[in-house]
Amino acid sequence: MRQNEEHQQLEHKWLGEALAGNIAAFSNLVDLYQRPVYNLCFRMLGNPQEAEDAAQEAFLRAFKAIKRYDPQRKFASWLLSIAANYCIDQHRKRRVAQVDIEAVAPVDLVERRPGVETELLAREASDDIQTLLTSLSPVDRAAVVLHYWHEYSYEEIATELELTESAVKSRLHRARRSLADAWHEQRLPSGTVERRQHEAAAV
Amino acid sequence: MKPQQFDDMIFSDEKLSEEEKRALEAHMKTNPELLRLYKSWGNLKPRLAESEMLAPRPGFTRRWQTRWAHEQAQATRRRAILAASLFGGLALLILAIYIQPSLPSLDETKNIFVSFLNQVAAWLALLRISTDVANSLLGKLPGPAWAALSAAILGLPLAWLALYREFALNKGTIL
Repeated sequence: MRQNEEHQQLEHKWLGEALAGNIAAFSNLVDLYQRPVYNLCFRMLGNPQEAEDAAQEAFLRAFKAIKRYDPQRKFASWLLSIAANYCIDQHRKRRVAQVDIEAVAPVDLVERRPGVETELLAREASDDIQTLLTSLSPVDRAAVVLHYWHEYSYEEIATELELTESAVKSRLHRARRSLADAWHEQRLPSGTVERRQHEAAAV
Repeated sequence: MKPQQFDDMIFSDEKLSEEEKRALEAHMKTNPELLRLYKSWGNLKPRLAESEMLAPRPGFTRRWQTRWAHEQAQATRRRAILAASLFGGLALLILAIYIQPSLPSLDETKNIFVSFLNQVAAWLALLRISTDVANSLLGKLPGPAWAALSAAILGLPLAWLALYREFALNKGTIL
């Protein structure tokens, strides 16, 4: 609790200095929020290099627009909304429909558990989730990442993505259904999906 | 209950009441597709919730600072180019205003240009006439005359060279 207060005080201090154009103070904020911003970008773009670029760009945009930051709002939310919207724009520009699965592999997990096997399992699970996320539209993906990784409420997601609360609910519902379907397909023995598609096409 | 309501129950974030649970279980017995979705989401949901937060490679902040410095340098260069262009443009404008009275008028400029073209055209015409005259004259010459003329043309510089060597290089003893 006390640590949290200290953390908030520090953030407040750095924000004040960053508002005056202090790059060192903003660098402290970059240090503090690099992980959530990078995680969001990676989950959105599915590629470590693109995620790094997007996270860097989000911080650059945030520092350039720091004068427009509303102190009533949580700084983390403001940052994540910049990152999410940037990633959505990237998707629109590049029309990235599918992510190269090989590019997903070289990712550093923050909390590495002891034992190579456990680590490999964790990486495999993370890759599976990442592959599932690529089946969603950029906005649905942003909503899922903000909800499940950053524990945002529907209302917060609606604010960050400039949607109505009911639109967020319906997008999340659609995304969950789609993820459940994709998860089921992923778990089927190889060849089953193709066979089903072939059968469906034949009908 | 409508089928959509069962679908909503499966993907709802809220806890289901006992009555809703019973209704859903009963419906799933007759609807294998719904049961498949229920199981699939039941497996996936905790994985999503427990999925780890990924971190960038070490040195992210340092890389960000480098990128910021690079962007600043580029912005400074762009500003410098813009300022130089503005000042250059302004200087040209002032110069034009300053020298404008001493410049010839548009009509004068046009006349100068037209007379220059006429001059060029006259030279070209003269060259063409000379070529035509030379061709027609030379075309009527017999072979031996051609040979004599060529020898004379070649002989003149040779004779000049020989005289030069003989007299100028031998301390000018022409006289």
